[in-house]
Amino acid sequence: MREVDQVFWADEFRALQSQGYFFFDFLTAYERDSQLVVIARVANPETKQSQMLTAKVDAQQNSMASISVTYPGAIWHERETTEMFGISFVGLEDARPLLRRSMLGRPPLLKSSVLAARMLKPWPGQPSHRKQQPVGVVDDWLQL
Amino acid sequence: MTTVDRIPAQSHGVIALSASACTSCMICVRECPAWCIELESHDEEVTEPGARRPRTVSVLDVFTIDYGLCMYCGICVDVCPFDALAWQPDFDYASGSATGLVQGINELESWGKVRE
Repeated sequence: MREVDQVFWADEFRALQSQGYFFFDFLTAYERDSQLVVIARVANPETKQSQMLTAKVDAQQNSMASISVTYPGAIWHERETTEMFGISFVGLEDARPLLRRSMLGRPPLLKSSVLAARMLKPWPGQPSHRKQQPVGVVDDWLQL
Repeated sequence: MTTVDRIPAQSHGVIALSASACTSCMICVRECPAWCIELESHDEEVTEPGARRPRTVSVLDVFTIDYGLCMYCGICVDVCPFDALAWQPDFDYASGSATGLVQGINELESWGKVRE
């Protein structure tokens, strides 16, 4: 896995394709310490070698260059990443939502997004004699 | 050869419960990211022969796993300090209703033996 500057994200993949990395595997994002990171993997079918690249997403702009011109297979993945993490891809022509048609509310895979299910269902692990905060909820989580 | 024969023994098929090994410590319930395990228990006093005073043991009343919510991560199996939960390579428990995917003590115990 190799981290690249987000400015060179699209250039890196163009270079990789010219080196024989024709097979696009996946693209997605993850959030660590409030920093969004985009990650993608491409492979060379001849040599069976692969390259996995990551790039930090600029928090101000919250956008990345699209690699869908180089790898058309990335279109679906970039659409999904836009929907789930709110990252916009510059140069992605088909930006129609996949599941969240209205795109209302916060992107669901951001750690700051509170899931409705966490408010509707009581936590089954709540101790009877004291109040405890379950893992994986926001700090001000309150059970209704 | 049936399908089950060809599936590796540690496959994430279904989670089997050994109710006698469970101490109702609630660790699995609290660690489950999908909140799909429910557990209720009560304490009973057991007097063993030769013991000076009775021992308090927890007895399971309710233990359910909702396979409609479970994401098969296996954290409950990993964190159980008493090996009361174990994976079994069984997949044949589809249901036509959401409530049919909630399995209780009897169903969970029927998935193979956790301890031979």
